[in-house]
Order: sequence, then structure tokens, then C-alpha cells
Amino acid sequence: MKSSQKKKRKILSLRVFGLLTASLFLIVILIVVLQTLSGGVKQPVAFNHRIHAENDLGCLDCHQLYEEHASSGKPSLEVCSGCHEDPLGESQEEAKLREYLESGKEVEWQRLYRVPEDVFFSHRRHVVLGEIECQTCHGDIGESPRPPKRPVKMTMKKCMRCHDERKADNDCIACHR
Amino acid sequence: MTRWGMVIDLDRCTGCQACVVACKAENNVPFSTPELEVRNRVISWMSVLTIVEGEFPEIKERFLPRPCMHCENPPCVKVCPVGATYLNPEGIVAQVYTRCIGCRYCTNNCPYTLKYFNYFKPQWPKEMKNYLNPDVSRRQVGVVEKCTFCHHRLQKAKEKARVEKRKLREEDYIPACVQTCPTNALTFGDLDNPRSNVSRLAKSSRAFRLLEELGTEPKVYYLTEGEWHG
Ligand code: HEC
Ligand code: HEC
Ligand code: HEC
Ligand code: HEC
Ligand code: HEC
Repeated sequence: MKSSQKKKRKILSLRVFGLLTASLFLIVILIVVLQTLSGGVKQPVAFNHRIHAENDLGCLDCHQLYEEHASSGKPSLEVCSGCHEDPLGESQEEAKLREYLESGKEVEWQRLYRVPEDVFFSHRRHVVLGEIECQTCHGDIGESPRPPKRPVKMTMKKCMRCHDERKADNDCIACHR
Repeated sequence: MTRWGMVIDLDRCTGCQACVVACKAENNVPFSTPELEVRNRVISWMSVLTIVEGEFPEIKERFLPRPCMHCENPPCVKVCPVGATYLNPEGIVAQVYTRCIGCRYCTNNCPYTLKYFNYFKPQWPKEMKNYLNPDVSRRQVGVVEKCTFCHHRLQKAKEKARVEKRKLREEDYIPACVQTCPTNALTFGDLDNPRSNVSRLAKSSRAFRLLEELGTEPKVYYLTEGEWHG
């Protein structure tokens, strides 16, 4: 075999290799972008938990159900109107909120945390009886300046690991129904 | 320990089907339709079998309400290849729908034919959308379902008892069919509690169980005067 031919072949294989890597790279990027787009949640108003925590609002002021119910609940406009009757600042997000307040239409908050329909989860059981902090499951959402793009995932593994540690029931139908 | 069980007094049953309706409403079981009936695809976790005796017009009808027998030795559990159906520590034969792969071994191995396969996507009339029970999931097509002794009621009852800082009482937890029965033919409770109504009735001389000879040890007992001939 001539050396020039060898060289050609080498260049060719390098090119093929380069092409393959490049396309692989693109595919990976595409997957990442698609995942971010599909799993993300955008709230109608970018709510800022931190500002409100600094203004001495406790979780219960806005999520009013968890002491007695399975769900925690989202605040209605009535809660917000107590302070936002008149503009408090210059933020665009507050302006959006005030549009809702003026029209009286409730904000349609998107759900971030969700277990599948067949799983029984009760906030009262965990927060009141189990004395577990919100943070344990929701991370630092209570102090974060903007809604998370995607929630911390609650997997069955996480539920069961804590139940193991805390000697709570881990029978399948304690949760599934 | 607790072993949940049921006693059904056949001498009190009038065949009114209230238990069947209550069960369907409580557990989000779709309606039966004539088409499903013809194809033998009806799902009814509680069903009343009618046994006709004699020749017309001298006939006598007897009724046999049948929920899952919640066997202590359940044949359906033995054949499940994925652990989707199992006997729970409180004696309930459970079905984890998300785990079920729809092989139907269990439906075929149930000697009472009381497990049901979802051949079709469950559907309800539009008007029913807001009337489904949020405490019970809607099953997917392709999974097996069955009577759970309204176990979701137990999930909530346990939490309620914890909030009130007391032990679960027997009357805290009662399935929909039992609650509905207008003639009190159905009794529910803890078979391991010697003072419970069910455990007393289960020891009655009128008591028997279906296909007892198979050794499935059902936790649903029947009562009737005289000899049972099914
Ligand atoms: C001033 C009212 C207010 C207070 C106080 C507040 N929240 Fe919220 N919270 C909201 C609103 C509005 C949303 C919906 C927008 C969002 O997701 O950020 C929300 C969303 C959430 C969510 C996501 C809910 C979902 O959809 O899954 C969690 C979790 C949460 N809050 C936890 C907390 C915790 C923990 C605290 C206390 C440290 C707290 N919140 C205090 C108003 C409040
Ligand atoms: C205790 C009074 C109080 C209540 C109740 C309250 N807020 Fe606020 N909110 C504030 C204050 C104070 C600010 C800061 C204003 C500023 O300086 O821009 C603020 C700011 C905001 C902003 C602008 C945040 C930013 O990024 O600049 C939004 C949006 C907002 N609030 C939404 C809500 C919603 C939605 C509710 C009802 C669930 C609510 N607030 C209830 C006091 C309150
Ligand atoms: C043991 C874990 C755990 C703890 C502790 C916990 N949560 Fe949750 N939270 C969840 C799960 C799981 C969901 C999804 C529930 C569902 O889909 O029904 C959820 C959902 C929510 C939601 C949205 C849905 C709803 O219920 O309205 C809010 C708001 C919320 N949590 C707030 C809180 C607050 C506030 C606290 C503290 C007082 C808290 N959570 C403590 C696990 C937890
Ligand atoms: C950080 C710990 C922790 C996590 C995470 C957790 N749990 Fe729990 N869970 C507990 C404790 C503790 C109890 C018992 C509470 C009590 O004292 O009554 C409990 C009780 C329960 C019960 C009642 C069991 C019974 O005895 O009937 C259910 C159902 C349940 N949890 C479901 C869930 C689900 C579903 C998740 C995941 C989404 C989850 N839990 C995550 C700690 C946890
Ligand atoms: C402490 C509560 C809890 C217990 C106990 C529990 N699960 Fe789950 N399970 C969940 C939650 C929450 C999810 C949904 C989140 C996820 O997919 O991880 C889930 C999801 C599932 C799924 C679907 C998810 C997948 O990976 O396909 C299956 C199957 C399942 N569980 C089977 C079981 C079986 C079998 C048992 C008994 C051995 C069991 N679970 C016990 C909470 C529980």
C-alpha cells in the first residue's frame, strides 16, 4: 500500500470520527434542552418567597390547609390583597399581580410538586404528626427569590428511605391506592 | 394483630343490589353496559349472584353477594410474577395497580373469579367527571383490579385516630357496601378481636365459607340457616 493512500485513509477516518462526535454532541444538547423545556413549570406571576418570608409571613399564612388536610393549598387573591391593595414597589411581577387583583380573577398557579394519582400523601400526617419541616421535602423554596423551574422530585425511594428511618409504615398499600 | 374480615348473612339479604351500587360509586368502578355484559367484561368488585331453584312458577331465588374473599391463603398471590398482589399484614389482599403488568395469571387462578382485568380504558359519562371519588385512583387499561375492603378508608381512619391521639377503633373503618346495606346483612371488623361482631358471627353454627375445601381460608364468612347448597 502506498503511503499517500494510507494518509488519505487516516484523514478519512479522522473525519468520520469528528462527524460522529459532533453529531453525538448535538444529540446530547438537544436532549438536555428538550428535557428542560418539557419538565419546566412557568408561573403566571413569578412569586418571590424570600421577600415575603422577610416580611414575617409564615408558610401557614399562605398555605392554609396543611394542619388539618392532606393538601397544603395555594393562597387565594384575598391573602395577597391584604398588602397589595396599593402598589408596594415597582416590580413588573407585582404589576401582573395587581392586574389580577383589579379583575378579581384568581391566579392559576401551576402545580410543582405532585405524586401520581394512586399515591396517598397527607401533609397533616407528615407536618403535624410526623413533625417534619417543609424544607425536608421541598428544599429551600420557602426562601427562594423565584419559583423553581422544576421541583425537587419526590421519588418512592425517598419516601421509603425516610419511612425506614422513622419506622413509619412501608407496606405498599399504605401509600398506593 | 388485626385481620380484617366480613360476615354476610344470607338470610337477611334481599338481593337489592345497594352494596353493588355503593361499591361502584365509592371505588370509581365504571358502569356496566349491555355490550360489556355480552362480552363478559363487566367489572363489579361486589356482585350479587342469583340462584334460582325450582320450576316456574314455583321458583325460589337466593342471593349471594360476593366481594373479594381476602383469602388467608390466596391463590392469586401465588402466581403473581411481579409482587403486584400480596397479602398485607392486616389480612387485606392488596393490588398495587402501578406494579401490575396485566398478565392475568391472578384472575385465572382465583377460584371465586373475583379479580377483574381492565380490557378497556375506564370511562364515565361527562356529567360524572366531578363525582368520582378523589380518594381512589382510576385504574389504567391493562391492569387487574379487585375489592380492597375500601382500604382507602383505612388510610384516612388511621390518620384521624392519630390526630385524636387514640388507637384505631373498629367502627372507624367500614367498607362502603357494609355501610350501605339496608338490612344489615353485612358486618365488618377484626376477626382477631374475640369481642368483635365479626369474630363472634364467624363462629356461629350458621357460618360457612365458599369452596372451603380448597384451603384458601377466605376471610369472608356467610351465614345461613340449614345446609348451604350453592
Ligand atoms: C405570601 C404567601 C406565601 C408564603 C408566606 C409562602 N408561600 Fe409558598 N407559595 C406561594 C405561592 C403564591 C406559590 C405558587 C407560586 C410558586 O410556585 O412560587 C407557592 C408555592 C409553594 C410551593 C410549591 C407548590 C406546588 O405547586 O407544588 C411550595 C412547596 C411552597 N410554596 C412552600 C412554602 C413554604 C415551605 C413556605 C414557608 C417557609 C411558604 N411556601 C410560604 C405563596 C406563599
Ligand atoms: C404581609 C404583606 C404581604 C402579603 C400578604 C403579600 N405580599 Fe407580596 N409583597 C410584599 C412586600 C412588602 C413586597 C416587596 C415590595 C417591594 O419592595 O418591591 C412584596 C412583593 C411582591 C411581588 C414582587 C416581587 C419581586 O420580585 O419584586 C410579588 C409578585 C408579590 N409580592 C406577590 C404576592 C402574592 C401573589 C401574594 C398573595 C399570595 C402576596 N404577594 C402577598 C408584602 C406582601
Ligand atoms: C414528607 C414530605 C413533605 C413535607 C414535610 C412537606 N411536603 Fe408539601 N408536598 C409533598 C408532596 C409529596 C407533595 C405533592 C402532593 C400531591 O401531589 O398530592 C407536596 C405538595 C405541596 C404543595 C402543593 C400541593 C398542595 O398540597 O396544595 C404545597 C403548597 C406544599 N406541599 C407546601 C408544603 C408546606 C408549606 C410544608 C410545610 C408546612 C410542606 N409542604 C411539607 C411533600 C412534603
Ligand atoms: C422525611 C421523612 C418522610 C418522608 C420523606 C416521607 N414520609 Fe411518609 N411518614 C413519615 C413519618 C414519620 C410518618 C408517620 C407519621 C406519624 O407519626 O403519624 C409517615 C407516615 C406516612 C403515611 C401513613 C402510614 C400509615 O401508617 O398509615 C403515608 C401514607 C405516608 N407517610 C406516605 C408518604 C409518601 C407517599 C411519601 C413520599 C412522597 C412520604 N410519605 C415521604 C415520614 C416521611
Ligand atoms: C411511602 C410510600 C410508598 C410505599 C410504601 C410504596 N410506594 Fe410505590 N410509589 C410511591 C410514590 C410516591 C411513587 C411515585 C413516585 C415515583 O415514581 O417514584 C411510587 C411509584 C411506584 C411505582 C411506579 C413507578 C415506577 O418506577 O414505575 C410502582 C411500580 C410502585 N410504586 C410499586 C410499589 C410497590 C410494589 C410497593 C410495596 C413494596 C410500593 N410501591 C410501596 C410511594 C410508595
